Amino acid sequence: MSEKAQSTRPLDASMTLLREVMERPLDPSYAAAAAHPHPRTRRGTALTLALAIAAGAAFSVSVSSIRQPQRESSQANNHLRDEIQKRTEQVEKQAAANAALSAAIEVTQQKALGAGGAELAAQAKRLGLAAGEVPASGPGLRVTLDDAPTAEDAVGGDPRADADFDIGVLFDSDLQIVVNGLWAAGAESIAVNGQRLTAVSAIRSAGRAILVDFRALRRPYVISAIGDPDRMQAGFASGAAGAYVQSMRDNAHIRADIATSDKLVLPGAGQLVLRAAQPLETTGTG
Amino acid sequence: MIAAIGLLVGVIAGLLLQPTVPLWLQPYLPIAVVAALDAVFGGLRALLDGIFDDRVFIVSFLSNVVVAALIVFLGDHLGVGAQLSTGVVVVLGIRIFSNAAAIRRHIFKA
Repeated sequence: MSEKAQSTRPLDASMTLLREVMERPLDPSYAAAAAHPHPRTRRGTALTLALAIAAGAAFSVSVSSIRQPQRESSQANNHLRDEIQKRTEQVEKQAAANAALSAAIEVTQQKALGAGGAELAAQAKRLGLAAGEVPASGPGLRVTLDDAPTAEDAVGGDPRADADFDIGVLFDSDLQIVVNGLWAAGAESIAVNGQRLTAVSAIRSAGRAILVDFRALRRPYVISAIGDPDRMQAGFASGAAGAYVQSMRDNAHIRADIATSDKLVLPGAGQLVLRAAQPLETTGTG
Repeated sequence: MIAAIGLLVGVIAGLLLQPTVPLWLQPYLPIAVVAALDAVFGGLRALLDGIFDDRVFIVSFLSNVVVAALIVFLGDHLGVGAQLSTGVVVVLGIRIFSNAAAIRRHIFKA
């Protein structure tokens, strides 16, 4: 590169693009139009007006629709929430109808059996109690489990935000261990948050929610078990489940509370329908 | 002047009618709005400089919007939509700020 070329070229010649942007922000065509004014025609004016109206409308529509997505997503959220509430109400209504129908069935059964069938009715009631079909009451234990205090914020947030294992959050397996411990300690009937456990019950999880018989539970988890309170408490504490709860409390700060109660009332699970299972004929009982 | 009046009428009409924008146009709107703002500030500065021209204003407004949308479209198809959008926003932002500074000098003499 020669000396002459270096002197005539500005130092920042390679940055003309940035200089253009910084130093000449105004569209140069304004200056050009001012230097050579166009004669105004009626058609030109009308076209300008029409284009200006169109541009203005496009501008305001764009601005308002840029703000739309948030509204739409919250709209969808509200819609889903409404749907959940409506469906939950429906389920509750049908459960209530189910309970009323079960009571009616019982009454009708007793009427049909007549005076001679009192023993049969009592037997049906006993069997229903054992199966968990009818409500039960009696003394027992109430175990209350809740997530660690620090885990609350995380649970309230986006369920997909952190997929990693949360130490202070209860899982279905924790509930299963506690329930199994109570059965082992001599519990006769168990309900979790008002969901009676039967021979066909399952404690599962879906996402972060714990399900009992496909019904999602809400914290805190209250496990009510009918049985001899003292014997159950001793059996539970000395068993594997008691040690497990103790370690959850110590290590993960899970809140656990075990209290005896003189009178627990457990709801019935309603009529159990077995479609495939048949009683074995050779046993002779039916 | 006719362009400014027309723009105002259009803005009000758009706000009142609230038509829905087709989904395929949605990604281009933010950049188009910034480009339109650039044209508006440029027009305002030209007005204060005394060289405002309806035709230039409208043409610059529309071409700004179309070019901005085109850049985003191209970027989306090349897989660098976000980066190109950022570049456009930076350039237009600088222009808007310089024009706003010129307008400020005109109005406040400072």
